[in-house]
Amino acid sequence: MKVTIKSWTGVATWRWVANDDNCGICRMAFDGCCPDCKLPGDDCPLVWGQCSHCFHIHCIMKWLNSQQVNHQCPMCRQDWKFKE
Amino acid sequence: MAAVAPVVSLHEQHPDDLWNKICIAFPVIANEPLMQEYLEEQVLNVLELICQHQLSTFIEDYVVDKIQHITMQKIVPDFWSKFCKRENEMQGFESFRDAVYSVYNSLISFCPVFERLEKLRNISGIHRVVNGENTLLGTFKVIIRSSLLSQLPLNHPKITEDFYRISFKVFCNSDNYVGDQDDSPEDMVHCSGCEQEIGQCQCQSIILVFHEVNQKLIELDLLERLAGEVITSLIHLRIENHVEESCKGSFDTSHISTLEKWLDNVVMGWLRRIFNGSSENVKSEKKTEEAIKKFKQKLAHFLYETYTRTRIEQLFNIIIEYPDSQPAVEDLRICLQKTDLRPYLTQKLQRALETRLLHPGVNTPDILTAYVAAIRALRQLDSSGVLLETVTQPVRQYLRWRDDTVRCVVSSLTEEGPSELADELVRGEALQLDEGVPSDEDTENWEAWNPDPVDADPSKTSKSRRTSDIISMLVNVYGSKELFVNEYRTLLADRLLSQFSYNTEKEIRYLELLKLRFGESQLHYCEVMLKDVYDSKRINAHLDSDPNFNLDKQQFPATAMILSAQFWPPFKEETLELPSFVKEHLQTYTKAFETLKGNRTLCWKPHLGSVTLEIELKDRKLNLTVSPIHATIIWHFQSKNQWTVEELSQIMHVPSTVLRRKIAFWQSQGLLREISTDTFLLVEENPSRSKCPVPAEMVCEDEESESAMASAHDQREEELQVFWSYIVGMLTNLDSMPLERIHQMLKMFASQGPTAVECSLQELRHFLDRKVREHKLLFSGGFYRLPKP
Amino acid sequence: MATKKKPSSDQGSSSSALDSSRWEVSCFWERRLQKELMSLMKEPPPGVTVDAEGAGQNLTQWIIQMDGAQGTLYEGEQFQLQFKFSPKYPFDSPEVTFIGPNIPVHPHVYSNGHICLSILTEDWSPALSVQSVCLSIVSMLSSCKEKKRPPDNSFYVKTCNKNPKKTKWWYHDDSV
Repeated sequence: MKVTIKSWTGVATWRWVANDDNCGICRMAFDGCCPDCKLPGDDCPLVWGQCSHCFHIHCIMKWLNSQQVNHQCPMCRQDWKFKE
Repeated sequence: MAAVAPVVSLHEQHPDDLWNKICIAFPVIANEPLMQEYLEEQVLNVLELICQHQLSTFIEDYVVDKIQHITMQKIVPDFWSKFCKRENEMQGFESFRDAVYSVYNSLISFCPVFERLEKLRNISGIHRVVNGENTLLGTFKVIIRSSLLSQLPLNHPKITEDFYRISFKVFCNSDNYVGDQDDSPEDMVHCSGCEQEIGQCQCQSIILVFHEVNQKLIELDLLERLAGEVITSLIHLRIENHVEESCKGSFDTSHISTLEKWLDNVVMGWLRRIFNGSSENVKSEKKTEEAIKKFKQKLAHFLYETYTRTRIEQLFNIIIEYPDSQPAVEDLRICLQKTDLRPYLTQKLQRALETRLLHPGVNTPDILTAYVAAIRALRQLDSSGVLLETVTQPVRQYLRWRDDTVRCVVSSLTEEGPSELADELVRGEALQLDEGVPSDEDTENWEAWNPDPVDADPSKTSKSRRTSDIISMLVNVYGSKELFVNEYRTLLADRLLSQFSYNTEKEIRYLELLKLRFGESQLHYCEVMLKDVYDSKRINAHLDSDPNFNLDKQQFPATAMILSAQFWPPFKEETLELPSFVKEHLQTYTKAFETLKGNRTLCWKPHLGSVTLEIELKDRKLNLTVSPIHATIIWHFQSKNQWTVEELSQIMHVPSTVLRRKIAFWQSQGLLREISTDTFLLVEENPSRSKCPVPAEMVCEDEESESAMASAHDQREEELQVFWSYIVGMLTNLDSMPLERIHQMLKMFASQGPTAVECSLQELRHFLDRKVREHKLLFSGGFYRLPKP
Repeated sequence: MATKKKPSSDQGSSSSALDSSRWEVSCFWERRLQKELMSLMKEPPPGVTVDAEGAGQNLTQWIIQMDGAQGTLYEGEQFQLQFKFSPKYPFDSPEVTFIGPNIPVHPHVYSNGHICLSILTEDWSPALSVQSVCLSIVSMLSSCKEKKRPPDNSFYVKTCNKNPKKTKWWYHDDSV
């Protein structure tokens, strides 16, 4: 007997490769979306700081916009710089 | 007995003489029969004599008294003696006839006496009322009636019934004769009226006697008293039979007006002829007319009641056949207003529903179909919705206990082809649910306002009853649309993951319709699920077309359904070790995905998916689409043609029980054979099989058609478990809480989770009571608390 | 949806925060606070109890019971903390004060309940939470060596704004 696979459709769930499950700002799952979004993934992506902490982009932007002077990472208070 | 006729002198009157003369004029005093030959002139003399002596009233009283005595002692006992025994109906018939004749004859025999007494009154110029009657004949009738009734024997209705049953049968039969020409005479050996052989039919004579007896009874004013009840019950019987005949099993026509006409023409015809002696044409007295009218009212009521009862008996079937049975429902609606049978209906229908619907032998879709029909039919029957609510309460309660109810509702809501519920959904009204706070009643249409029926549940607003539509009613079976939406989500997940079709237009359409019903946000998760499918298609195409990902160099194309785990219902946890060759392929796909979507990766659910295989055997070639686990099993038989379940279980990391089920598929395909318990052998050649052509393409319809999702029940248990941890937290903080407060608190959490679960007050109570039984909670004085550690 | 509620204008009404349909309209701060409330109730830190019912009724104002930690100067004492949240939470810090009959006597706690704690104003971060604030306050109390009011207590109490966040704090040494 010879079995030939003609095609294989698998099922997978995607997830962010992040150091935590939840966003430190909104407390929602990274793999979900921030409270202001409806759709996860491309529509509510994560961003990383150089300090290696990550957040929903919408959450960290809200934080940075609310700060007039110091732009610090909410987790480690280091100056926030987007990781290239 | 010689009666002397002396010459009467008016002047020399001896008292004895006078008495003798009086006795001659009224021989009844001396128990003598009346002498007709006695000269009228002589009698007149005596009457005048009485008058002169001012004895008129005395004599009259005396005579009447005497007659009353005779009546009591002889006439009435004679009459009733005929009622004593009867061998058969016919004998009863004859006895009754004889009795009536005899009492009538007595009346006739006394008539001349009354004439004389009347004359005496005239001569004396006396007007008096005796026994409420101003004529002596009337007085006598009263005497007869009262004496008869005062001596009423216990078994009297029997004979009366005999008489009327026989004559009524003949009578009604003669009535039918005109219409029923269809009865072929050859078939009839017996007359359908008198039940005698045709040759000896006695109908004519019976009818004659019938009318004669009636006439005599009317003259005696006894018809109603003596026979009224019997006639009524016979007519009732006729009505019952007629109603039953005319609406046997047909629900698609209205019968009310036909029945009313029948009552008017046929039944009232009988009554008129009975009351008027014989023919309808005789112009009846006003009194009779009134009696008939009263009778008719009672009969009409009886007719409605009978019809209503008949329809109520049939109501379950009427409901099942709705809307074809609309006319019957409309009839019932009208009749319910004329009768007092609402409670009867509720009770009967509930019982019918219980015995015919609410048992394990009926499958859930059928119960739902019946429930939907009941909703529609009962709405028509009672627009206030109260009947519906009360009657179908057990149905809802029962449906709540069925595991597959929500699933059935959801699937019929979204199923292809004509489905009542799907149509209902397309109608697209917003969902009306019980949960809302009672709003103010609609005040715009206050003039058309009607109070709720008395059996209404005061805790519900009549508006909610009147307006909620069928889908709302179904959703309300569970009292929570969240549960409903969850079930839909599971169903949708199963559908998407069993079909592996990337074409989701149809599902999107249903989702849009459901959104109209259940609200946008409730179905947000489903929207993400459908978007996942759509995105997967794009990603697959993208990865496939871009040569940088090297997917085209693979031995077989691997594609993926990529899901946003947070938005899908929980998956059943299952393991499966795929062939390493396949795993490498999937790994390549993952790499490509990671490259495409930086910082994201994939977690495969190896047991889910769909695999197309080509299997070459010595004598045939098969093309099949199967599940990954099926594919893996057969894959392993390439390297070794015999495996035990235990070996496969170890290499595939799949429990033996599951494997046995899956192997069964390959057995059914003739590829594997169980050579000893749990040991399977590959069948390379199958001579018997080669004869019949093998279908080139086959899709493995998973015979068990298992859900990839955790069952609703398991999901619910898990959710309740989450609630439990909150409850423990709350009770640790607050010591003790009543049910309502716990519920309030939990509602807050319900608004939080990804699935927006809700726990009804009732469900919470069940859950907490269970915990009390498990000694994990204490309950006293309406408060729940944790047991002291 | 028939039961749609306006987002936040009716926070005071009893059904607003508990309404199950709330989820669909609740905004950032509400969802975050609900999550925090849930986790506080589920796993309350030792000595900290939230009045979940009150908070559930009105998410913008929480009352928290705090027990003085064992082995500290405040052992056996009970305090009440009040948290007030603005719609900018968690990007804006909560307003936290001691209330009730027992205001801890502490060099960083004024007798009107105001607390001199940098994370409550300029060192606030959205990654902080009610729980972490509570823990900071517990540890602030625990590390106290002598029960006394701040030196400027009477002046400050007379002149300060009702809202401690309006105060321009000069943070003393963190070791006390």
